[in-house]
Amino acid sequence: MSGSPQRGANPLAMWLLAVRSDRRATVGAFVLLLFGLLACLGPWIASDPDALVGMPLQPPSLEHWLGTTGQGQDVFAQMVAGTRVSLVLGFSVGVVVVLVGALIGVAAGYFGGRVDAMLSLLFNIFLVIPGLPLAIIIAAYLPSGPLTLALVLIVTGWAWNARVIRAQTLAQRQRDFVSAAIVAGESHWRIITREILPTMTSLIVAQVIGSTVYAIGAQVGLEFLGLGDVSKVTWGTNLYWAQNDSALLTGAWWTFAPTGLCVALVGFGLTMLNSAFDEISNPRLQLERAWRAHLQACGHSPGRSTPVVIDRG
Amino acid sequence: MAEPLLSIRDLCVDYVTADGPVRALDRVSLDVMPGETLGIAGESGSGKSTLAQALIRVLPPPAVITGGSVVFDGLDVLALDEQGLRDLRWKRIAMVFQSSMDALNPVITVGEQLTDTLSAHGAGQQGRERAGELLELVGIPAERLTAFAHQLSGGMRQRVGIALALALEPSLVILDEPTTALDVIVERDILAEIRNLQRARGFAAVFITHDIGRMLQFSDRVAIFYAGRLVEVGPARTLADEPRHPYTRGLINAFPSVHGDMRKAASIPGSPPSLRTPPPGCRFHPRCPHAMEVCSQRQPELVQIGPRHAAACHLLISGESA
Amino acid sequence: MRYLLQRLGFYLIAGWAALTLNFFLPRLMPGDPATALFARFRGRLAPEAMAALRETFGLTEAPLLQQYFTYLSHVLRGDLGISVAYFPTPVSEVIATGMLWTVFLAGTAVVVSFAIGTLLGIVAAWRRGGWIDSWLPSTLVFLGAFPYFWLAMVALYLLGFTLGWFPLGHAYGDDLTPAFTLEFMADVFRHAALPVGTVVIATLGGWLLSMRNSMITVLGSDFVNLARAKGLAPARVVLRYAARNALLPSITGFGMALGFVLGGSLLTEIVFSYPGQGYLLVQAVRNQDYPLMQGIFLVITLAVLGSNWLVDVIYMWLDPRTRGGRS
Repeated sequence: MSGSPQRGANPLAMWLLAVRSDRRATVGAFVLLLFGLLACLGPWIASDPDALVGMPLQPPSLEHWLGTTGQGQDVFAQMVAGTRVSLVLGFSVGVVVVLVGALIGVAAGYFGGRVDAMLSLLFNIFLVIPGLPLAIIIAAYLPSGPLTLALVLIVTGWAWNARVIRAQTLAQRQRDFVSAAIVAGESHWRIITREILPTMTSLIVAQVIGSTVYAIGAQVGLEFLGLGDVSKVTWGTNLYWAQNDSALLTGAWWTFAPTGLCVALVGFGLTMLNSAFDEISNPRLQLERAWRAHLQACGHSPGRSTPVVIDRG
Repeated sequence: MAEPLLSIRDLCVDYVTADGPVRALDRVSLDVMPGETLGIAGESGSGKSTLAQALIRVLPPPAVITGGSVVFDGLDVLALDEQGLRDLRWKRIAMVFQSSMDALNPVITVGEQLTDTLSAHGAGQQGRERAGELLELVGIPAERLTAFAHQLSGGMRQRVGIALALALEPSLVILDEPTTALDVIVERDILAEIRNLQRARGFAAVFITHDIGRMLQFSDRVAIFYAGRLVEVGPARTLADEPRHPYTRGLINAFPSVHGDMRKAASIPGSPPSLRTPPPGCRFHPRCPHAMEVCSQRQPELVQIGPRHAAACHLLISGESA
Repeated sequence: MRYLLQRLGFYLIAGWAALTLNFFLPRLMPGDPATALFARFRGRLAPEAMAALRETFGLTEAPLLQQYFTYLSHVLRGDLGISVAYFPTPVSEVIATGMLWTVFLAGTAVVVSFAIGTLLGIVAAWRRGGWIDSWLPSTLVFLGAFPYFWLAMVALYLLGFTLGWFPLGHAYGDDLTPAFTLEFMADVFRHAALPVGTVVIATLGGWLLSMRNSMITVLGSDFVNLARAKGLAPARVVLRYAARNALLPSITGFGMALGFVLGGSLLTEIVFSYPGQGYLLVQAVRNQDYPLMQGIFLVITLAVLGSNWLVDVIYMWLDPRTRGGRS
């Protein structure tokens, strides 16, 4: 029983296994698939989100499934249109955030010494400076729009990934095959990209998922504050307008409820995927799960002491 | 001869994995007499530590005891409920863990770990005082009661572990590689300490180690484990002078007379089998210099070959002795 | 002690980094936002306000380095410039009115949430596979996936607007004047219930999961096994041995999550028109009141750094290993 052969082993297969074996992950994957389709097929499903289609603040009806906004636009159409923008931005920011984090984390862990001290100080500072206020003061000076949003989300989001990747790199660096590569005189770049990064594929995928959750949430928050381009339809600006039009105090729940539900469903789906994967790539949890299932199959309930299951037949 | 204090019969322990159970301990039978020291030796993965923790049923998941019986002083350990186990543990069977660095709670003082043991078993009245006495007993000044584990040296921590084990004057102490992490001089001191305490208090000990040299010096009787099975058991002197199982012989020949450990056992070619896919028949046969056809077909039973001396080998069954 | 000083040094550096960022940000921005802003405000702002903005954007004649030191000395004296939206009130004065409310709201929420979530995490790990372990984490993670401010909107709509159980906003009723009376305190808590409640619900899942996972790791350690072997009562094994150790990584996480939770709490304030920094922030954003925005950023950052140091003090108190040295 040596180590955990599972970590490096084909991550794609592991993910599929996680989705198949964990009910919550199955649900999560299904929800994500649904939103993916919604984002891709949006324009064919719903009408023009900007069009003024009726009286303002109409409750849901057959004609407007989710009612109308304070300006008289169709809420469903806005929700669908927002899905595309928010998902694309969230996912791309998630990827870039992890790239930046990985680059800095690997550099810190691999080169060590002064480089590590400087880079670690940098990401530790970014970890303690509260992200939202920082994002706001940067975004406020830049022209509002998706690029500004992406920029501030990256600036405020990379540090956590860098920290995790650095720790992982430190662990990998101790391993024989890396030492061997260093002794053999391979270039740093080659060692990092061929020897170290491949062992972290699963971790990086998990980080992209986590960062996407963060990016979607933070993006919606900033847009809600009015720091996005409020003339564009996204999940965040939908909520901004709902708040601006005093949706709450007029009782127009349909103007904010669907969008929030979308944010939560996507976030939940992604988080469930990650936690199922965590569980499946943790050999200890796996063993414990098998153990519990085995005991239950034998008609025993797991207790605190080593169980005795003797087949006296 | 007196009744055994501890009597293990056909004990089996499985580790449940996603691919099904793996047998870590296979039909092991052993006795421990009151006051004696039984040594258990084997390579890592041979099941010796599994046995130690199974005896008081603190083997963590995914372990399951799947067969046999453990009787301690007339008590059927495998039938006890949680309360019964709590009464058995420590008051009657105590244990010194392999590494006291990991076995001591890092965030509470050594003193508290001693006193909570005492009070858990209703001996908490003079707790503080008694805890101090226990530390002095293993050669640590009583004022170190306020120390945390990280403030003690490795040897001191191991002594604390021993003090803990003796807190309730148990009749059996299991020593699970108590000196592995220590240097030779500290190791000798601690073993001598245990020896003295044992003489004074008369508890029996199960001494688990991979250092067969130490064990032969330290134990009255010795049991050799290989890949989850007991292969030979007998008085230490007998085993040292005339080991009968080829594996024991390999171990003892490999052990230099002054001091040595299992690394030298590399003179037995090959490495121990995976418990997931053990070889059929005798588990040692792929490495055995005397393997016969029958060895790969049938598992040899333990046979009595002398006074209190038994081994499991087909060579002995067929009456041949190489 | 050395540990605390080390941490203090780090927070000083982080604070200095935040100050420097704050100073250079307006000066580095492309497209000269100042000129655009001046054009917008020309004629509407008093010359003193223009001068204040000018200084914020670094449009004074002095060399950059001198500006930097002037800025630092001003900040150290508590001078954060003049607010544009609330002209001519100094930024520090504007911020001071809301700071207490923000600290109260976010502080209560984060402490309550951490306490409940951690307790639930202990229970979930103790009863692995029980109903708390199988249902609560996913339910809470689902709730945690909602934006805080959205949960706030729903809570406000359902419990405040529709059912009328809670006030619809503000920190206390209009008919009351702040005083240390029972009546006023009760009113403050009534007003804080929904904002605090939504932040607690949104963050509970995170604490639960982190405590549960670190409990599971610790429960598998040798010293917990020894505690069991010693025959200690199960409750003692779980609390004094497992939870006491599992708390340490959770506390570290607590420090790091402070800033994040505070951000969410600021947005929640907006929904409830709660008179804290969040509310000021949105006013600042809408009025492009840059000095106020930057002042808020600075004050919040310093508050988070300070709280982090407090968390370090607690950590040191909980983990004797950080106290160092042999006794």
